[in-house]
Amino acid sequence: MAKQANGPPDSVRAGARAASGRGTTGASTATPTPRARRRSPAATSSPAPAEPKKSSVAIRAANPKSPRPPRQTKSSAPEPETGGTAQAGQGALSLSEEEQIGSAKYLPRDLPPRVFEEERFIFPETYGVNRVRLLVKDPHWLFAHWDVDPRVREGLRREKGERIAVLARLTLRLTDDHGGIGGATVLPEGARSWYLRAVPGHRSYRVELGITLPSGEYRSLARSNAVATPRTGPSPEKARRRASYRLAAKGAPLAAAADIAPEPQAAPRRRAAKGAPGTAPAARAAGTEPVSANEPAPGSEPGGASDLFRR
Amino acid sequence: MPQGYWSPVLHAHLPYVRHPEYPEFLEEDWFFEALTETYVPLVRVLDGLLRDGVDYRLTMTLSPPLLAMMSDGLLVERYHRYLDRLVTLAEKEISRTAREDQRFHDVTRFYLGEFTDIRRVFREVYGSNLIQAFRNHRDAGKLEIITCGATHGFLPLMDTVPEAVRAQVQIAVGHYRELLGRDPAGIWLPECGYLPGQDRFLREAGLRFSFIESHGVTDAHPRPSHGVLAPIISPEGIAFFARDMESSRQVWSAESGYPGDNDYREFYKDVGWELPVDYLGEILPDGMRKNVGLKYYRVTGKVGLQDKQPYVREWALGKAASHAGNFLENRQRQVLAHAPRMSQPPLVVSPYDAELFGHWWYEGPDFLNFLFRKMHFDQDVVKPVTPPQFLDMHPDCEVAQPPFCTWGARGYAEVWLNPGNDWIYPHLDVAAERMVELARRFEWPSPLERRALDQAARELLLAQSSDWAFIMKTGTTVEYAKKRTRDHVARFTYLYRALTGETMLEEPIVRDFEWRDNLFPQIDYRVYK
Repeated sequence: MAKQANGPPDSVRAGARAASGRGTTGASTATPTPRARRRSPAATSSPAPAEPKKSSVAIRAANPKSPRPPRQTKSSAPEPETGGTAQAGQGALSLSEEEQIGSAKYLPRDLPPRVFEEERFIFPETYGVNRVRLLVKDPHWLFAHWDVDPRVREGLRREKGERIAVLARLTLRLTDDHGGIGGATVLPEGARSWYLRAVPGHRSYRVELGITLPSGEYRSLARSNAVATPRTGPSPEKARRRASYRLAAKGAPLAAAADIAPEPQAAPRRRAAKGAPGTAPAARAAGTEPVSANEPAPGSEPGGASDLFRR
Repeated sequence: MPQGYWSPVLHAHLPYVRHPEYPEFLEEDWFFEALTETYVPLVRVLDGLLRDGVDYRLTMTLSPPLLAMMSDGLLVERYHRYLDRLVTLAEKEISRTAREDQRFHDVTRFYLGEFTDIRRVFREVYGSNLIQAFRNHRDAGKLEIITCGATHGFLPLMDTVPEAVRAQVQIAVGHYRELLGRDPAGIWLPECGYLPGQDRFLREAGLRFSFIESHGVTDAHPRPSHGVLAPIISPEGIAFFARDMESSRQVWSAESGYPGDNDYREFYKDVGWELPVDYLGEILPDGMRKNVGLKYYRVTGKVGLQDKQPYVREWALGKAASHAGNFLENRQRQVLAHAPRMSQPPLVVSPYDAELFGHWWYEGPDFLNFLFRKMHFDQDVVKPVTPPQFLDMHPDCEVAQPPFCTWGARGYAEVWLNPGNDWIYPHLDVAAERMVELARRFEWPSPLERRALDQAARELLLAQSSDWAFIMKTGTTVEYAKKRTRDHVARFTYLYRALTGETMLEEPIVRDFEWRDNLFPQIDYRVYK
C-alpha cells in the first residue's frame, strides 16, 4: 500500500470554508484563519527593508528591481517534498526572447515573503506501484520517472538479506524499436526521475525499470510507454499527395494518408544511448529474469496517443 | 486580386486565478491588467474598424480559463473595483503632477482619459460582458475565435494518459459551445505543442485546423513544397498552419523588434514601485508594492532605469503608425518574392501572445489599428485572412506528418520539462490515471459522488495548466505556481481517496472545493472514460 503522507485536507478539520485572509499579506499582517497556513520557504529570510519616509511624493529616480527585459533566469529549486531528482545532461536553462516577454504576464517577481493559505499536503514519496513512464524532452533527451512498490525492497530483504537489499540499485534500461538495448543506468539512491540521452530522428524507445543486485543479477519491475524522438531537418522525400480540406473536414482520417510511406527510422546503432553522464557504469543486463506482477501483459503496455499513431 | 495573404493570430490566455477565500489577491491582477491593457483596448480597436468599414480579419484564441474568468461574477465585480481605483489614482496624479512635477502632467491626463474610457467600454458598452464583444465581431465574419486546451495543459507531456489529452480537448470544445453559442472550428494547441497522433483527438472533437511552430512544417514528412507559406494537412485530416518567423521577430523581439523603440512606453518603470506607499493608498492592498499601470517613461534607449525620459503619447502613436507601415511593406515584399514560385498565393501566418499587444507593448493595439487600416485602404498586394477563409479559397493542401514541436525555447519541451519543474509530472501522471480509473469505476454514482467526481476532474485540469511549469521555469511567482500545483493535487487526492473508500466523503469538503475551484460548472467526469 502506498505510504499515505496526507491526512484529509485542512478543511476537513476546520469543517468550514475560510472566508477571510489576505492573499497579499506578509507575515506581520496575516489574519488568522480557520485553515492551517503553510509558510513558504522564503518567509524565513529577512524581511524586506521598510520604505523610507518621504516628505514629498516625488517619483524615485530608479527602480532597481525592474530590469528590461528580464535576462536572468531564476532557477527554482526542485520542490523539497519530492525527494531527490537526479539530473543529467542539463545545460544552463535559458528562455527565448518570447518567453521572457511572456513571463511579463505573471509579474511581479521579487516579491516579499508571503504567507499562503494552502492545503496541508506532502507529495507522496511513492504511490505504491511499480511503474515507469517515458517522455520526450527534445530530439536528444528523454525523461523517465518511476515509482516502486515498497514491497519490492521488503521482498528482497526477506529473500536475500539486509545487505543485498540495501546494496541493490534501481536500474533503467533503454531499448529501441530494433530490440537493441541502448544502455543501462544504475540509479543513485533516492532518484525518482532521470534524463536519458537519445538519438534524434524519429526513433522509438521504451525504458525498463529494474533492480540490479550486487551480484549483477537484474530483475525487471516495469516497462514504460513507447516514445519517439522527433525528426529534425527537412525530409529527403518531397510531398506529392494533395488532399482537399473539404474532404478532410468531414471528420474521417484522410484516405490519402495511406499514401504516405512510413518514414524510415534512424538506423540502429550498437550503443544507441548511453547512461547519463556521471552515472555508474551500466549494469550487466542478464535479461532473463521473469517480469514482476506489475509488468503489463503483452499487448496491454501503457502507451499514449502517439503510440496509437505509430501502431 | 491580392498577391498573398496575412493571417494574424492572437493567443489570449491566462491561467484560472480566482481566490474567493481572500478579499484581494495579487495574482488576480494578471487578469485585470490584461483586461485594461489588452482585451478592452483590442475590442475598442476592432469596434472602430468595424464602424469605419475596414475589412479586417483576425484569429483569436479565447482560452477556456480566460472565457471562464470573463464570465465570473466575483472577478467581474473585483475588476470594477480595480478600475475605480485606477481612475481615482489617475485623478490624484493629475493634481499632484500639476503641483509638483509638470513633466508628467500630460501623461497623467492621458491616463485618466484612458482609464475612464476603458471603464466606459467595459461597463456601459458591453455591460461587463466582454465575451459579447468578441461574439459580435465573430458574427460579423471578421474574427475567428478558436479554442485551446481546457486549462492550457501541455498535451505532449500528457501523452502517457491519452484520456487526459482527449478530456482537455473535449471539455474545451464543450465550454466554447456553452459560452460562444457554436462549435469552434480551430484550436490553439497549448504552447503550440504538437505530438504526432494527438491530432486524432482534435478530429474527434470536430476541430479542423490548428497552428504549429515553423519546424513543424519544414521538418514534416514528406517535405512540404512551400515551407511555412502554405498549410498542410496531417494524416488525421487536420489542417496545420505554420508560424512565419520573419513577421514574428519584427514584433516579438525586444532588441530588433518594434516594441523596443525608444519612444514606446517603458514597461518596467511603474509608479507602484516609486511613489510612497501611503500616497498610493488602497491600490496597494496591505501596502505591498506592485505594478499599478501608471508608467510615465519611455524606453529612451540603452540607458539605466534612472535615466529614462518622460513618455510622450503623440510620439509613441507616430511610431506605431510608422511601424505599421513598415510591417505592411515587409509583408508585401515577402509575398511578392514568393508568389511567382507558388501554385497558390503565399500565406504568412503570424501568431503572437495577445497580451504582448497592450500589456507588454503598450502601443500594440494602436499598431494593429494602423496596420489593418493601411492594409485595407492603401494597397491590394496583401490582404488579411482567417485560416478557414483561406482554406475555402484554396482547399487542396499537401499531406504531411509534422514532427513533435512546440514554440518554446529551442522548439521542444524543455521550458515545461526541466530540473526546475520536472517534479510535477509523476504526480500529474498518477492523478490522470486515477481520474480515468474513477470514470470507469463509477457508472451510477450517488449525487454526492457525482459532485465529487466532477470536482476531481476540475482539480486535475487545474493542476495540469502549463502556466505553473512555465512560471517555475521563468522564476516570476514560483511560490504561487507551486502552491497551485500542490492545492489541486491535494484536493484531487482527497477526492480520490474518499471515492475509493480510503476516507470519508464529506459533503462540506466537496462544497468547499466547488466554491474554491468553480471552473467548468457543466463538466461531466465521464469524459475521462
